[in-house]
Amino acid sequence: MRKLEDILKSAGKGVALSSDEKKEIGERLKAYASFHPVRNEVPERLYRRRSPFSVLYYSLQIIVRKRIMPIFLIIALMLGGGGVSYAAEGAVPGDALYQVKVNVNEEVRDIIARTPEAKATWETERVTRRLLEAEELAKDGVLAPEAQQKIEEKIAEHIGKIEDHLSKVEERKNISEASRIATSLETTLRAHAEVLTRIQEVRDESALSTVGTAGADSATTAESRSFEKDRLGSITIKIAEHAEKIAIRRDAELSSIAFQDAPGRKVAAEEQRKHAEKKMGELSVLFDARKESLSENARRVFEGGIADAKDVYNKGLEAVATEKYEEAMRAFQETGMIANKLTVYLKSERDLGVTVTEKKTLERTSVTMKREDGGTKEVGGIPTDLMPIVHTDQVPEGSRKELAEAMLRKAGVYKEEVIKLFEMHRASLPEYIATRIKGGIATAEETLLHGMRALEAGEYGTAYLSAQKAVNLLGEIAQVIRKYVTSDGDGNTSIAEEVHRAHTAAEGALAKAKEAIATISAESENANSRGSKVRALYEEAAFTFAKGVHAENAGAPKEAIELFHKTVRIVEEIMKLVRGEGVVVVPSPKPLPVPEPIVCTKEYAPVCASVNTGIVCIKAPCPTTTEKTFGNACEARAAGATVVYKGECRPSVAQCDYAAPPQGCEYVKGSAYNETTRCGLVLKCPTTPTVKCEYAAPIAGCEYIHGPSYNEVTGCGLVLKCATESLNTSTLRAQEVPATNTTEVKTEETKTDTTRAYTY
Amino acid sequence: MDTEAQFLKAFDEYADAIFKHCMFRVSDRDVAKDIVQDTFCRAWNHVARGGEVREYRPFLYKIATNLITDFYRKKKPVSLDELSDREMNSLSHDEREQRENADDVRRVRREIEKLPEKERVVVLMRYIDDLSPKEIAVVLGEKENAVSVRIHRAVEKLRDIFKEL
Repeated sequence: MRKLEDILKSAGKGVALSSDEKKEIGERLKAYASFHPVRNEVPERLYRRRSPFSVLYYSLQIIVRKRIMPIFLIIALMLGGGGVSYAAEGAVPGDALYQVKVNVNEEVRDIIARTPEAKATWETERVTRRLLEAEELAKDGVLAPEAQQKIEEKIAEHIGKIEDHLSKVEERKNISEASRIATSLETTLRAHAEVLTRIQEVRDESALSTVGTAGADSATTAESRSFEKDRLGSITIKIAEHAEKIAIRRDAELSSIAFQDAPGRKVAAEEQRKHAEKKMGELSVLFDARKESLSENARRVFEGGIADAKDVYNKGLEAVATEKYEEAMRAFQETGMIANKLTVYLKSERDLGVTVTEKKTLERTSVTMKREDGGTKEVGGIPTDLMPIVHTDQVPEGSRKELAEAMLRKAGVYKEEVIKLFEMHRASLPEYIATRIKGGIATAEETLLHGMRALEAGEYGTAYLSAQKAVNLLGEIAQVIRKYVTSDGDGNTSIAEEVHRAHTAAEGALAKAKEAIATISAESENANSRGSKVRALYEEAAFTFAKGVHAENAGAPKEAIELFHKTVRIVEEIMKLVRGEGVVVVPSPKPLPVPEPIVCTKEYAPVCASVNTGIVCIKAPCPTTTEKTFGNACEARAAGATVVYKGECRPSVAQCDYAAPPQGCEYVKGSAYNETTRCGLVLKCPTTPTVKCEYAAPIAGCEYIHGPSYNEVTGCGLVLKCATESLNTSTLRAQEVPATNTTEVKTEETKTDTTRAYTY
Repeated sequence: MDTEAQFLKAFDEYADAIFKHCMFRVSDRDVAKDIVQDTFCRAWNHVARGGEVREYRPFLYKIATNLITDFYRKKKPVSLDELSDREMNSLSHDEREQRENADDVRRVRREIEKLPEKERVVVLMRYIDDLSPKEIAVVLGEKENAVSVRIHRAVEKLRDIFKEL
């Protein structure tokens, strides 16, 4: 027998990484090292944001391997170096660097994320990034149809990936982590849907407030605004749908956690607690930083939300103390949800100036509370009795098996029902839909089988979760089938035919519009003015049609029909314009009395408004109002000013200002007076009548000579000069008094020049 | 040699050894790979922040040991046994045909699994990873003497079991 030590040493032989595995980890490490370069003096976080050359090399490898970028962008990257990849971070759809952001920066991070948990978390982050892009564009009203389509597709793609990763996480039996990721995604989606709705409201409000000042809206502008509204509405609805789907999954995960043993549940609760604490920490840092700039109302709402979250958190702690881990987990999860939601709102307030809390107080999200409808509505096509039940406490040992068995049995029966439904309507379904449904049913069967095996192996939690997953999938299938087979009133025409008809009609209409546009460009100059409107409408029609096709392929026939009909309606408008009939001018709505706002968004859409100076002019005309630039119309109204025109205030024409007139005088309009500049005023003072002095005939031997105060005009100030020296001068002075006028004449006060003006 | 080159060299030299160690500790290939990657990422974080590494081997083992401890803290204990059984069976299956002492090896592996955690770690480090008691002492932050005694005790235990069989 060999020595034990030798056997021990040989036990480790042959256990090694395969060369591929080693290479893969090595590559990831190189990428990681490039993202976290050696720190010199610069703080590490700055480096983290930088993207050095070595990453570029790595990025290029991915690009070349995946063939995801046009060659010119690769060259641009090579020339621009790491800065490009950094600069690309702020790109939105439509920017040249958006491809770099989505296909290089984000892909590199995806590769670095190793575990399915990390990958799912990163994909959740990517969903957030797409939503932020949509919000940024929507806020400025520049969410172009193509950009929106791109964002919607990307969101769907990311969520698809998250679901795949979540399945892997579930397979690894890390249900609590799966549930945490699902919860985080769900809250993110719901919160951003709120933000988008708020952006729409803000845009509606600002449209209303500008109606009065910017003149009547043309029908085209009104129309384009309504398209924009539709589009924002559609993206919001899609996000809400995604959230619903994820919510079902989260419920299923939550309920299967109740199957776990106490140690497992304790660990799960602990993890949720840490996560909740992290989220609360983030929120409180952000709130402290933003507190000052929030309005009183918003601050109260946020404080209330944070207090709620703390309450729920404390309940969680109590539950841990009493070993009720189920309850604790849900409480911590709820804390995380509230904190996450508030963080999204605060960030959107900070980055976009959109205050979600302005209109309403935040509703409390509750994990135990089944969505808004209380869980009675059929969600995702799943009958209510098959919806996951969130167990309030651990499932007792004895009933675990029964519960899992019952769920699997129910799922089995449901599967049969769905198959029957499919067989029944197979003929009326388009071929590609039928193929997809078959694939879906096969997956559901596989999942059920997996559940059965888990049941046999005594893994009741896994069995229950598998049954739930199969039910979710079957629910979706049933929904698609029902959408297609809902017949019209007579029950003769299947909806598939209707979709087809609408599709053809819309396609024909679009072709017609295209021809018409070709003719318009060859026509007269007045066509040019219509040209841009027509082309904008055509773009919208094409986008609506594309969305219809998308809906048709996605198995939403009703939505598709609606969109195709809309396409036809837009084309009709185009044709009217082309024929020169002009669009029917929709009477612009009367501006509603706009209440004085309390809270305003911070977006910069400057207006020039007139503000009362508070000066009361009594003696002379003076300006009582002055023009001031406000950040936006709302801020102007809030300050009690009246909006004069859009844009910053233009520097006013130089105006003349006059010094206060002397006592008893006033300014009057002169011949050169200008109304705008208010120049050309003349000073007018009351004039005293000119008094002439007359002297009595001089006494003998004397004569009048000019005295020191002699005045040429009035002839006053003569003094009597006599040959006799004995004559007292004082006597003579007494004789100066004019014979006809006894009034004292003050020549100094008599102004002869009254046309002096002080011009500045 | 610059930091990055040194680091990559350490990866080439020790990745397999760390993986082997992890494999014996966690019995799951995917988890072991994760831990290997995390180990090297953390090691890089340390050197990138200006930390000095005199010897990579004990340093890496130390990080890996910490990560494994974390892993067990997070992991719910319930599914551990079934996992280790499954993994160990599949692990030995590949080699059974090729090795004449496959039975012994498999038995040793199983018995190592049964040792208390502290003893298992030192046995793994001493015989599978071929670390000296001094290095093990550095990794575990204990005295060399204590480590030597523990190794000795563990081996004696195994020897007893093998005698019984």
